[in-house]
Amino acid sequence: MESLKPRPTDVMVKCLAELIRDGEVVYHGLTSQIPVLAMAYAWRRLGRRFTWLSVSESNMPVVERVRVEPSSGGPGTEPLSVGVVTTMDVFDLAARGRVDVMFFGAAQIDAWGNTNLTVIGSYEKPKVKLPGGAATAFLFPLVKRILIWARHDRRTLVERVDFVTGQGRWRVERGLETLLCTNKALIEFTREGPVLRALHPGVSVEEAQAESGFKLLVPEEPRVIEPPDELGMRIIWEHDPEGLRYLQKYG
Amino acid sequence: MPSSKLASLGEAVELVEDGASITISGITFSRNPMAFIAALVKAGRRDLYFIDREPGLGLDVLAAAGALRGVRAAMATFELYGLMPTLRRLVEEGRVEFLEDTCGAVIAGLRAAAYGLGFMPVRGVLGSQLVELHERAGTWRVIRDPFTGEEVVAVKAIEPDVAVVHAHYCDEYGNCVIEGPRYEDELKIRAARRVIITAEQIVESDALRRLPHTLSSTSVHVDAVVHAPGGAWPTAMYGLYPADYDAIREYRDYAREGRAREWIEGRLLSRWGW
Repeated sequence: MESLKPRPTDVMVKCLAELIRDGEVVYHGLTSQIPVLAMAYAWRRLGRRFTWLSVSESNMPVVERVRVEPSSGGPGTEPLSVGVVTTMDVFDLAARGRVDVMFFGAAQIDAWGNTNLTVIGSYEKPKVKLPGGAATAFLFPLVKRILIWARHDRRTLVERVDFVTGQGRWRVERGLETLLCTNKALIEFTREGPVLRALHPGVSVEEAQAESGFKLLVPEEPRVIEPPDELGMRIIWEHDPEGLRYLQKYG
Repeated sequence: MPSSKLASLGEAVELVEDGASITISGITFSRNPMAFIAALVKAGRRDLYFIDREPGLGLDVLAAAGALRGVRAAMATFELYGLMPTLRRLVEEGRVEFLEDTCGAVIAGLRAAAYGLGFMPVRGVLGSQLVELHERAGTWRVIRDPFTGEEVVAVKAIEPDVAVVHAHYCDEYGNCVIEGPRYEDELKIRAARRVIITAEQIVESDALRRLPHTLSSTSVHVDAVVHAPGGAWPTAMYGLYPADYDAIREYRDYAREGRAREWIEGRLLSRWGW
């Protein structure tokens, strides 16, 4: 067994897991090793019971058998699925308002929760051609709660995104829950602005603010996200024995 | 009675002309029709326009072989292995045009073509800057629902010239079965003008007589059937073989150094006797 000492990545896993509620319909997409671990953590450590769906088109997999791989869209991650539920099917459910939770990454995110996964620089002359938003633009207006994970620094949390892939403002103006788990904090996007809800252990409000390119609101003392305990860490390692979750370099 | 469509890779590749629009089966590192992609590279196809929801390895190999003029996709990624090693560079250098799409809209466009319609409205999407890109490209238009007045995005039908789908088994006529995740492959088969099935196994039609499930493709959809065992390698084939991540990572490392061609010839084409 590798070190059971939780790292910021593991705290992100738990932060996301705590935002999944009983009875919900939860779907994850590609490059979603951290969300997969959050789903497993919610199921096994927090005892949450929800409908597990995925871009790998699995349905209600045997959670104990879930193992993250370099791809979260292939048949290897979630074995023993109950039949096949296509992404098309899930997206039709989303269009009818029946998907509760979806996870998205962001290369840039602004104070409204607008995300950019398209391009750094201009679309016509990109400095960096990013992978693209996948279902971001389609699902942002449709899913009840969007959970975003990203690195907490001023290159990612920006005043202005170079391209609005995910229409966070559209959501926030309509009161749809939009939350961001970083490797330092939990931020909720609201009509009033981005609210600092919680901090990783050892991170101060000042540090979270200094690493953000927009002003964080702190209406009350943020709580501390307790890191995963030993049992929680054992569960995370069981689902990710190679430590692939650390490859995204969130610490 | 339909006619036999059995063909070799070399024969089937003649159905894809330079400049054609093409879509392939699978997702990032799963069930890509790699044998057929090898055939496209061997045949030196040029100026292809690639359309897919969430492509990975197959797309980058075509990009590295210089086969592409443009790409339309919702996400093009190597997932934990990073950005698309070759395509990314070609788009940044302005040598391949990229139209970013979003999953639900790709599905809607394929549905329109499969349903014999000119367009399909889709929910969501509004508020994203992707709308501007597609209105400029002439691929989407914001319209009003004639019944409710609600604003929706109309996606113009996506009718690829060719769909290439790697399946588990198929008879000589094109009645095929995909097991496990389908992604949009069954829709692509119905949306494309021409369909090429590569299959792990060719079976007698009699073996499908008691099949209790719907077929992934029927003889009416399909133009060529190719026997290609191991034809998804190094991407995964549900129930048969996992993704060969060592090989995929090796490709990525070659491609990052601009040596993708060496890997494609040495590791992929050689596998198919070229």
